[in-house]
Amino acid sequence: MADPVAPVAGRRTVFAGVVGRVEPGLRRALVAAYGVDVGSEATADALAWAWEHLDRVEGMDNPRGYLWRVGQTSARRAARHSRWEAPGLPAGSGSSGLGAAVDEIASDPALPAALARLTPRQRAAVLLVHGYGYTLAEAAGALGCGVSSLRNHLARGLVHLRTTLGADADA
Amino acid sequence: MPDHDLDLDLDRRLARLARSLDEAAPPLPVDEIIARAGKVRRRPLAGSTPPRLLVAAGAMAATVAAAVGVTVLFDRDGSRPADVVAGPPTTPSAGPTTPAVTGVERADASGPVTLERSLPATGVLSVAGPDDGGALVLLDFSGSQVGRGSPGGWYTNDPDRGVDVVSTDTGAIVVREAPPLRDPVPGCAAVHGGGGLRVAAGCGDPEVRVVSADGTSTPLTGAAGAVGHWRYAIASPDGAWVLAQWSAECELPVAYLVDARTGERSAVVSETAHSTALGWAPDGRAVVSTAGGACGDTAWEAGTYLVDPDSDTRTRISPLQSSALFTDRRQYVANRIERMIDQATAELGFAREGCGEPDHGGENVFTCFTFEGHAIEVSARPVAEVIDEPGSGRLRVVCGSVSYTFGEFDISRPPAGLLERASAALLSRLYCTLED
Repeated sequence: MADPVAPVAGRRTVFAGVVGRVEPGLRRALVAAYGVDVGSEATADALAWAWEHLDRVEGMDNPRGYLWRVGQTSARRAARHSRWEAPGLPAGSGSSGLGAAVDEIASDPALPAALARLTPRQRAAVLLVHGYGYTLAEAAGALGCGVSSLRNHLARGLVHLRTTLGADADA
Repeated sequence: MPDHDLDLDLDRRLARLARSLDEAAPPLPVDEIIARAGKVRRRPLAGSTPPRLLVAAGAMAATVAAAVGVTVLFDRDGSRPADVVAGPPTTPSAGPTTPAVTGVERADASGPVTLERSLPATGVLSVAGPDDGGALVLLDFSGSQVGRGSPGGWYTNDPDRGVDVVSTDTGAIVVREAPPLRDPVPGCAAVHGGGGLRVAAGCGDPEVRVVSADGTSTPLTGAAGAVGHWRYAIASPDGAWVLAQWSAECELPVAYLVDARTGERSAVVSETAHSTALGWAPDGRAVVSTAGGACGDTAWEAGTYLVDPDSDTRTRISPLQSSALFTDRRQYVANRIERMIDQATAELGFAREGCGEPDHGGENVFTCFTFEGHAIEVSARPVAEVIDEPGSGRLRVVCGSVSYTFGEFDISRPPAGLLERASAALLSRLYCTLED
């Protein structure tokens, strides 16, 4: 009789490899787009979906892009009735255990506020490229879109961001 | 501050924020993800499972769309008068008449409405008489009252546009004007689509016109009297009939039913009766309100009626006059483009489960529908924000004021012609004018 544990263990190893490849970009993109709470949950949902559909995910050209979409669906459902929270500053963040992160973000409140005015994709593009230092191709892969599309989101996001921050600085 | 300083500063601030986000949202251990997997349950979209008959109709429509192309779908019958106008009519409309309300500032929404039982997806908004407190009354299509409230200074301007039942930030339920779902036809006062037929009224000449996907139009029916104009015309769910509103002398509203194949028309009540065309019930019966007035007779007892256009049988569902049809939007907040796609997929019977979900807020849309067994991804945005993705394997179509991009959700190289067929099917129910 076959040992049922062995295939699961093998599957887990394969899945760990997938997670290692896709998780950082996926999590960063979803957190940037939808905030810490919703983005983290969406990442977990997307990866859980990947575990359930591992064969399909392995056969994909760009699993990151696909899982971004799965995560988006989850995030939109969660965020349907709420505005985007400034990343790292969810309601009641004082007791959220974010520690130094909150202190650092709280010292620059204008930036999260300006980011909150961008679309989710613009936010993700701006943070992936200018915050995390991703190349345009890497960021496009994470967001499941072409480089030209990514470039558009990035350019629009930066224009809005500069305008908002510039106006705040002038005020 | 000079731009380059701002950029340097911005990069530094974004990098610091990124580090903070990594700390605040650390990676989830693999075993926790696996443990979570069994607990994740995705709900299908509300109302996403179409009736079996609609699926069959949708598949048939898609096959037709694939065979004949989008434009032909709008040209329904060769027997129609053939004086095709190149491009939309440009003469300014005489304009629809709007109830004149002086000295009253119109409220954006009604006062609070109290629901007495579960609200149907669509129904009739009636206005009780002064003896009954002038209340707004929400009815289902059997005439049963499901809610009641105060107008609070609000009234409907355009019965053809319909009203939304929505929840406010404070949780109150109110009624307000629905956004126009059809792209306008320049020079025409009103345009509506249904069952693959797109009709326009108030296009200068007193005619109801059928508008094709390329923007050309042909007359369906002419003036209903020596004096007056057509305010609007609404196609039936199967595209076989048009319910049209004539505004006669003395601004008397007279509702007509027009055969979409022949252009033959007849007054729903009588040519002299005060009758308001409200739209179509989901079962294909026309909804008409009639009442006595300073002008016009009262051929039928005042009230709200459902009229079967094929048999001409009528059912009086309420003694109340009605203002418009309502749509329950309390649970589903959607922008205009989402609603257009929603209606198109519903009309075609295309399932929308399994991938994507409409955006909520903003002007853009990302959603999916099932076509020929494939999940077709659609992103749509106002044309002012068109983003090209050359070489992406996607298909972009500009129709009316919206750019639609079609792709397949989980296969990077879709079967030959799939996206073209899927887009042709959907666009045939979006009732917009295709860009060359």
